[in-house]
Amino acid sequence: MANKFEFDIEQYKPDWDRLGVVVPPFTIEADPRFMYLSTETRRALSKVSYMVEAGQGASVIVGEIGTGKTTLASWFHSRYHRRPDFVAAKIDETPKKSGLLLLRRIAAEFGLRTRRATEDQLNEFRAFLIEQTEKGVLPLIIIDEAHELFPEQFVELRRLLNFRDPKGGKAYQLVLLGRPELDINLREVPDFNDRVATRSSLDPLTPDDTKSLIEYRLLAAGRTSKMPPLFTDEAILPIWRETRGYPRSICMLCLHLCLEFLSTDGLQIDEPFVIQFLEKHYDYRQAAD
Amino acid sequence: MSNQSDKSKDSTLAALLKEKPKRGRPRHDVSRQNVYVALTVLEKSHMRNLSKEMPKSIVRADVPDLAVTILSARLEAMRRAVADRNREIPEGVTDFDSLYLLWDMMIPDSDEERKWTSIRLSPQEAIELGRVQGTLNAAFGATRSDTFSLGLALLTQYLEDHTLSADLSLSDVRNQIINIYL
Repeated sequence: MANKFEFDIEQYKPDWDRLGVVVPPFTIEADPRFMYLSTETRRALSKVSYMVEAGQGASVIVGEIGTGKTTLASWFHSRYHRRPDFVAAKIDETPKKSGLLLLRRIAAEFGLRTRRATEDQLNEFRAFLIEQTEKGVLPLIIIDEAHELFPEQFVELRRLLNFRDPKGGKAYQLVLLGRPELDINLREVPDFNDRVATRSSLDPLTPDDTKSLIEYRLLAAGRTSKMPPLFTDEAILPIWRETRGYPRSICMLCLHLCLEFLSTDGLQIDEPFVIQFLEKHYDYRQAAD
Repeated sequence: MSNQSDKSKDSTLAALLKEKPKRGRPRHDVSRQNVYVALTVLEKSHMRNLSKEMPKSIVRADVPDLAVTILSARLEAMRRAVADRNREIPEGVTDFDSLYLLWDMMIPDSDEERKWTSIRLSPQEAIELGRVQGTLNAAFGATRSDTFSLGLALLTQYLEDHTLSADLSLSDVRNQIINIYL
């Protein structure tokens, strides 16, 4: 006899097929497959990748919460890690205060031996650099949430940037991504700040970019371009106004709109639908949190 | 008295041999080649304006040569900068427009109507344009017109950033560009 409390979980899953997609199109996870390249993102990508490949040292990308920094960090890591001429280490959360702890974290990402003394750890990095450059491989360090770094940690990073292989070749390459406070923190460490080869900022999206992001995500999730647009042109403006163009907020709102839409029998998400949703579920953000 | 006035006049032969400003296209040591590109009305008028900002000896017909020289120099500079890597164009330059972003220029409006026009290029520049377009076409599917428009934008930026003295010749400006970027 079946337990009366058992129920079929499958029937409670959203019917994504109705939207013409094979995977959920709107998630707030940093997935490089869904990375929409806005003009600002493309500018940051082209400048930073040029500096990295030209061996210019440190590059900085700043952006407010939800502008796509972590997605960009994942993009850099995935792209460069699979290239034979690069070895990449990505630090998502920096250890507090200690420069040595940061070096140890980076060493662990590269698969190096971690040491208890800063000088020993730096020697490990020096030996690793020589070994890699002999093979024509350039080590790349990507640090997300870099606004949390402390001045003493910047000192150690500067020492890493100073390393050269004996033939005078390229040193470690560094990409720092963080909130706008990162720029302020860097002013406190002028020695390091001088080493920054390029600075880029990720700004919120324009209404046109918002529309393109939504369309791109639906396309990447499997919706064909032959189908009529799921979101009408008029629906974009209230979405942009509500989210102020922050990609993560756009994705979260669109996810809720899609879930609400699936419970109706409508054909498209239009302006009245979005406005009605926002009035009815003004606290959807808190609910999602 | 009349003899004196006759002497002051040049003979017909001397007048014919005298150097006079010539009409038509300026003469060059090597004849230039016609290359066909599709440009917007704005780009065409821009070429005329660019020649006015150049030294006296450089005319509108020389602008395409310089646009190709600067484009070729900047791409070569990029190639050399990433010479140790296994790509000529950095990973993050994901499309043709990204080159505009990389070099801090405005992305052109792609919807603007373009009309075919002929530009005249020195033989070396014609080869360079083909070479650059080959690279950009393989990477991003760029056409010859797209490539030339990028060169024009780079030349505009160069003239905004550098002041050229009035007595420079075409080859002086060309050498200056090469010295700066290569």
